[in-house]
Amino acid sequence: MTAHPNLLLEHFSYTYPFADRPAFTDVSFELLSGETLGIVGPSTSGKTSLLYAIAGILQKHFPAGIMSGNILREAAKPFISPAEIGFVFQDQYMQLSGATETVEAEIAFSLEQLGTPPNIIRERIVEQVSQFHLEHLARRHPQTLSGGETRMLALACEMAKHPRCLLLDQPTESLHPEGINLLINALNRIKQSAMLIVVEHRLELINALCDKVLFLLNGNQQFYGHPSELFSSDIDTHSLDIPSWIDAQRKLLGHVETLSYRKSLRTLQQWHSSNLQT
Amino acid sequence: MAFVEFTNVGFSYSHNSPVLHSISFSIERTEHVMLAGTIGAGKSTALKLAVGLFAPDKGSIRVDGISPSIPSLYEIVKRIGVALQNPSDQIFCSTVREEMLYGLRNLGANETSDTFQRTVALFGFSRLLDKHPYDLHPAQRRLLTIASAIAMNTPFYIFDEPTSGISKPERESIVGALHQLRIAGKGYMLITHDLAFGMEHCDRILVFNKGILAVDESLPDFLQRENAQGILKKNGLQMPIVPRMSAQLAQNTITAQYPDFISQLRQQQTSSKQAP
Repeated sequence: MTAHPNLLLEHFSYTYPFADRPAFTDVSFELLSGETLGIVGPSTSGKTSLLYAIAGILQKHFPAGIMSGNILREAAKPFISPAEIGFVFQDQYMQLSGATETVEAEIAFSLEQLGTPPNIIRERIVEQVSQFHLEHLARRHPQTLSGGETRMLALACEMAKHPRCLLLDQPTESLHPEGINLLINALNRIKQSAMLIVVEHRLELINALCDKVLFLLNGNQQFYGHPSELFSSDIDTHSLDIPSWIDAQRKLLGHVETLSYRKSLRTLQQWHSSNLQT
Repeated sequence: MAFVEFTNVGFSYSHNSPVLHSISFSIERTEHVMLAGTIGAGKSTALKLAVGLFAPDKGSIRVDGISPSIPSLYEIVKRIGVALQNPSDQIFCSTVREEMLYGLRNLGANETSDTFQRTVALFGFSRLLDKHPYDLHPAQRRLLTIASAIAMNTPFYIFDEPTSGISKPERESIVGALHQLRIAGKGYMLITHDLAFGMEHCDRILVFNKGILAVDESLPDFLQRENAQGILKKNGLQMPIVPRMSAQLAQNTITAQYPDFISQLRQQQTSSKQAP
């Protein structure tokens, strides 16, 4: 028996009111709970709009837009309730409520709006503060945080909700490598019990995290499949930021065998030593 | 005399948590410097101090001999062009054209000015000039802040996270712009988490760690150091893949630049084939 996809898009298109071209056209994919989808593509390809549609934001705020095709959340039921969707916006400052005076209170804020019992809120704060190493910031005012610290807080706030569907719009923006590692670990932790959709320019992250990848270019779906197929396929990927080791392998050997940095390094090492011996 | 000079600068936003402790460095007018560090290390604060948006608690700052402050702001903006980390903090005009011209108008220039025309061409903004900045994609908004700074034609620039949240086409625009600045003999400082990008386009590296200057060295020297990777790691940073890979593949070919790396490997290959 095949499992029903928790999220299914069929030939889904959307045009904003008064726009001269669609934000995206003919997008199709399916996603099960426990799976992660990466969405890649250059800016203005419709990636963020697609996230807004999945979250139901477009339907609510731009009902005059033209929509076609199907979007099914939770197959039988029409919607995953908004309370079960987490959304990390690209602009981390947009995420702050502006209504709280400490980092801890900010994490509690959306949980309080959802009517979560106080003891559980307490647990979630502790969990997120330790997950994102925010201990030294816990009593700081959210408005006094740096750009990267605000990003970590935004991630903590959304993950504290234990969403069943988490949408992340360029979550690594303004994070340092250690922050990115914390993010990857956190995502791996909730991955088992949730659907994740990540819009990201860093293909390294897509590669480390995602089971499926969707490549959008000017609103058109160019590719949908396993990340490793994206680079070995004939699709024109020049508009993407290809990881430099993949590019090195392609330039030196003319092909890409693998997506993992270690394997790629080993292949190049073999190439290197065999060339030096000849 | 150095162009930007920090001498024992300390600063805190509130009494209990100092952001910078006694930072000293000096940058020449034509230098290309990257400033790295973990989040909350004080990088953006240093930018805001350098242009006089805040005054240091202790120590002194000189920009071309002038102490940056609100009264001297008019002199400072003629010397340093700035793009802030969050474009929304910076943009406030209602069209792209007005945003790019805002600073220039204060200096008596207008739309026909040479630097405006050149900057528009450089960033390919001619189609976007009548758009509202908030109708632009966030990545284009970031480009707009950088373009607005470059349109001012100042001798030195500081860009905070120029590559954050942008895709390859915008990255190429920025690379083109940095290249033009270099040719024109202008200096810049890039505050960035993207070490690979910083290392490709700068000659000197500064690393902040919790408000302390941990590294200040020329990039080639720094990359030649045996424990360069360890030093970055100690400061919460990670050596980009290309230098790491080249170190692992063939010692002594450490270079930050990807095209160099490929051509070095090719050279090794051809020279070893020619050898008897």
